[in-house]
Amino acid sequence: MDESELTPLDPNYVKLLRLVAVLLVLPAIIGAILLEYRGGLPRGVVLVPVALLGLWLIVRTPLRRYRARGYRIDIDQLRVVRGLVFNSDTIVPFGRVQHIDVDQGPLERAFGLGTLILHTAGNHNASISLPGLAHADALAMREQIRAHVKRETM
Amino acid sequence: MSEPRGPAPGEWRRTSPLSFVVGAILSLRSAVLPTLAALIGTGLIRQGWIVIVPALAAMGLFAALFSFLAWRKFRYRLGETDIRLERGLFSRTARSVPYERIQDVSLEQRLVPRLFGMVEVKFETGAGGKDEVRVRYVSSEEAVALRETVRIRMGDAATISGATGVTEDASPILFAMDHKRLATFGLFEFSLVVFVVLAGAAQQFDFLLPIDIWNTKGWATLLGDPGYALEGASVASQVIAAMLAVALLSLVGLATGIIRTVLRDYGFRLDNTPKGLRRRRGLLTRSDVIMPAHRVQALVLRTGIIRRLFGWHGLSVVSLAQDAKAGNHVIVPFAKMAEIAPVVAAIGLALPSGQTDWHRPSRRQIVDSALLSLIPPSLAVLATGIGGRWLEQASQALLPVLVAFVTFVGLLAARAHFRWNHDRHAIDDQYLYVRQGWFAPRLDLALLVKLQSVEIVQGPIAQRRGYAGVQFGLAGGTLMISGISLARARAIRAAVLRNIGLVHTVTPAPADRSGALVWSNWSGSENSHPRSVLRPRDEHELGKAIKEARLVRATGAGHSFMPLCQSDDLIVSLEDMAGMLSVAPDRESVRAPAGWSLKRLTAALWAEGLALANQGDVNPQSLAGSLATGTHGTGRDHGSLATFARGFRLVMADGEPRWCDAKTDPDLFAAQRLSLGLFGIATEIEIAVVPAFHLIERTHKKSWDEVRETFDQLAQQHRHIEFWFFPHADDVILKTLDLTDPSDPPPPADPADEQAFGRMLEIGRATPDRVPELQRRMMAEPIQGRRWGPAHTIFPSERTLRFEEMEYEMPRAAGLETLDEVVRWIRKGRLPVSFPFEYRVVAPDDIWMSPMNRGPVAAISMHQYAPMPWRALFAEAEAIFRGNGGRPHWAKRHTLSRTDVDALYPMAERFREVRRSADPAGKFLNAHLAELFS
Repeated sequence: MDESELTPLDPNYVKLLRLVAVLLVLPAIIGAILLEYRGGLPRGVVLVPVALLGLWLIVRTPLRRYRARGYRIDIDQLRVVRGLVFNSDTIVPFGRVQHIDVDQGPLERAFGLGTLILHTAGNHNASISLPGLAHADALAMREQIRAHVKRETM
Repeated sequence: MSEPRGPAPGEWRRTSPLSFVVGAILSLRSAVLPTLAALIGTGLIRQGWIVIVPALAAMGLFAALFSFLAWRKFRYRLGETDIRLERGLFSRTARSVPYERIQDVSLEQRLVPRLFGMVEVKFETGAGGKDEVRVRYVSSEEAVALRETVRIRMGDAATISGATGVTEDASPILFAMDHKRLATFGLFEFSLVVFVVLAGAAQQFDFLLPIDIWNTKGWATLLGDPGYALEGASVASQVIAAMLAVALLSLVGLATGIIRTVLRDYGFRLDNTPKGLRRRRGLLTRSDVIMPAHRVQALVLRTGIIRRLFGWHGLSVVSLAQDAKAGNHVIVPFAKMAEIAPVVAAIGLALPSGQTDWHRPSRRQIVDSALLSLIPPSLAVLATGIGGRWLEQASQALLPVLVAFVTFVGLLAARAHFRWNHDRHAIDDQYLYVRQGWFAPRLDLALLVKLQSVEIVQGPIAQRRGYAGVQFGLAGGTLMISGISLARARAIRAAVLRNIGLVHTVTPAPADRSGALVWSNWSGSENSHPRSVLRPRDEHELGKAIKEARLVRATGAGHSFMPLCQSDDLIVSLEDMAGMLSVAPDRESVRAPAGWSLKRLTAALWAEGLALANQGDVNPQSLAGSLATGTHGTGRDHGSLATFARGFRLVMADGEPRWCDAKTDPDLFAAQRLSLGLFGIATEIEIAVVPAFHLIERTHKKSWDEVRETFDQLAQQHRHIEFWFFPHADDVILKTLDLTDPSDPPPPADPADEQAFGRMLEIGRATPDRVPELQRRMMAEPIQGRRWGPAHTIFPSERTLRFEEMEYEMPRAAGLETLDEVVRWIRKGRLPVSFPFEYRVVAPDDIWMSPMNRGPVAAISMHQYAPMPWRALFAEAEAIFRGNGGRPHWAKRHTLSRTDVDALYPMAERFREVRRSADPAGKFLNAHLAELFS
């Protein structure tokens, strides 16, 4: 059950992660260029390492992060695995879900992605979010989980 | 005491007019300092009282006005379904809180309101304190009435009406503290927090002080030069001075501890009222809280490194309601375990017992965390050492720094040692126990069904070193087991989720026992969605449920790998059935509740000086379930557990109970001996027992070739014998059990073996190609072990790593050759079968549907680690087993068809006939069983 195959996230999630990485790296690149021209430093001393690091962050890291993530939806529980360096592997039984959100930020919308968020009553993991789903999938999962969530007086 | 009357529903109400006075005083109190600060900041303070007095007066006026307006604008109403509050001067807030969302109502009296006889009423909603609803302030009579009204609407109506007329003071006191206890508690609450506060305050307000307190020379002058005197004094007087300082410090610490404790816990009293636990405490701020027992999520038993030595503990409950800022309510602040146990029992929970199966954390994690904590101080020493080459101060500091470092290392070592000896966790069917901590050891006791989520976390080091933490979602608190092996973490998660899955059945809504239910077996491979799951308490309840049901299956521990317990209608668990063990006068048989686990049964038998003659190697299964499926142990002269049965009390398909044994109903008894639960639901079973005995287990490695030659001879020599065989390794692990003299049990086995095995399985899962190599490496390690003790503790071993299993009972003569054939097939294809084979022997019997009814058998179990693929592998192996004349274990993976059953069991049709007459409507036939036995 819990150690079985994980479902990978939507491949578009890699693109989203790359775009976010680009947005993060871009200012650093601009800064490096300015530093070189203004500071009169030899060509490439700063720019090359910054660019290489940026390239790594844009090309390689998103792919690895994508591969480290995954989920599995069972009849009665959702498993969310994430984290390259700090790995976490969470299971939420549907019987413990208080309410469910599907979020879509502007970038996610551009790629047709959505984030499924399950809220529980626990102090730890009060909300478990699963980003990088195709938006339609996220909505379908919400319906599926909602069908299981019964009002329950604790 | 007359019955309190709450305000009528639907009426808007205001708080007491006095509350605006209280509010004004309170806001004035909190406004004084900022005002002064502002005056100081702007430099106006230099003008003296001319400015200060009017400023403060203005503040007071403003506070009074503000408070009055706030009072005017606040109103509340107790509606039919919710409480509504409206408040706000500038922006109005209207809030509705449904009664069923209210977790608790507490009354609180702080010092200032108390002077005016005012009480604050807090409705706790469990939203982490954010959406707390307060009504401040009302008179104490009204507060009590309000609480009663809300409680009634909260749904505790039944208990409340039952309690009408009972004065609250008559309710039994669970725990109270007298002055002596309070004083002792205060001593242990030694605290130097006052210095922290003073230092903090001094830093904040040092501009107000006449001297610069951070200037030691100034101090020295101020204090008449004792500092200088110290410098010049002899060593002896320096020591005396230091001792004096320590004594003074201790005195202040003690005084602080006692004062704080008395203020908080004066007159502490815990009552067991019909509405829940009621706690009253406090000297200046007297609080009165009621905690309904069913809202308890977990218990925390705390102690301290020193008070532990004196046996003092404190107990808190974690509930959805919040207690001030702390996430839990202290219900017994300071007591001996003997006083705490009844409180725990009153809540309906259980402390760990001698039976609790404790597990250690991973040794690696303890070592790693100690080493990691060494890094910063090592850097400090290094820096001082290097700095010492240039700076004189640094070289002077080197010695103290080194001393501090060595002390720190000592402390770390002590901590690691303590953790290794004390950190434990355990999980059973109901509770999770986590005991951890060094300076403030604590034991967390969580109800499995109240957990919200389970997360396995691994940092970068943990990932490489193969351990993990398990973090649980707990409403109102946190709970984590840190540093255990990944395999163990997974096993715990699986166990918890199994229980959460069954939650609706444990606390069914009284009126409606249905819900979205999921039942799953131990390995997690079989799931079922029953309409309802029932835990009947007596035969009458069970009979009624069977009568009304369309399809009903009974479940025990879910240890079968086949869909035997599947039902889309009703699943019953006999765990809550009342019943006890009764021993026959000749002490050769007992009657036991059918739903008891073998673990519980054998423990109860042991207490009577009795035992089962043989057992399998795990013991959580129910008695009924293990008999019904032909579960067995190993041993040339010992048959399966089904052969122990002497009689059954069954609740039949018509809901009526009936006793059957070989005399009263020979046909039904013959079929019921290995019944697959097809004839009725057993509530009590009579089984043969033997006088209690002790066993010694010996484990060692032997080459497969040697075992093939000598096994039959060994099986003659030992009472019980089995071996484990990794198909890719050359050696097998041979285990024998023999009678031994009673002696003290040795310490429990180190879980390291299982951890190593768990790691191997995980590597094998990631890289199935490496399974052969890993198994050879595993078996290259020396394997030798001995343990001994009461038989029922030696038969079972721990199984935390989940697997799928297929077991075939081969004619004894064909056993070793069949195993050899299967192993050769696996080796040839380098197939990733990561679990070992298990080989056991069972004596023959004469039971209709028993796979041992043709003669002695060799039982070959093939396992696969649960997360890895098994179906294709099992299918091929099954063909080999079948080809050599094997018959499957009924509860393990097999693919027999109805025709196969007829071919293998001559009595199959007779078995079906008895079934048809006992249960004509097929109430006990699920899809799988209908296919074979309709």
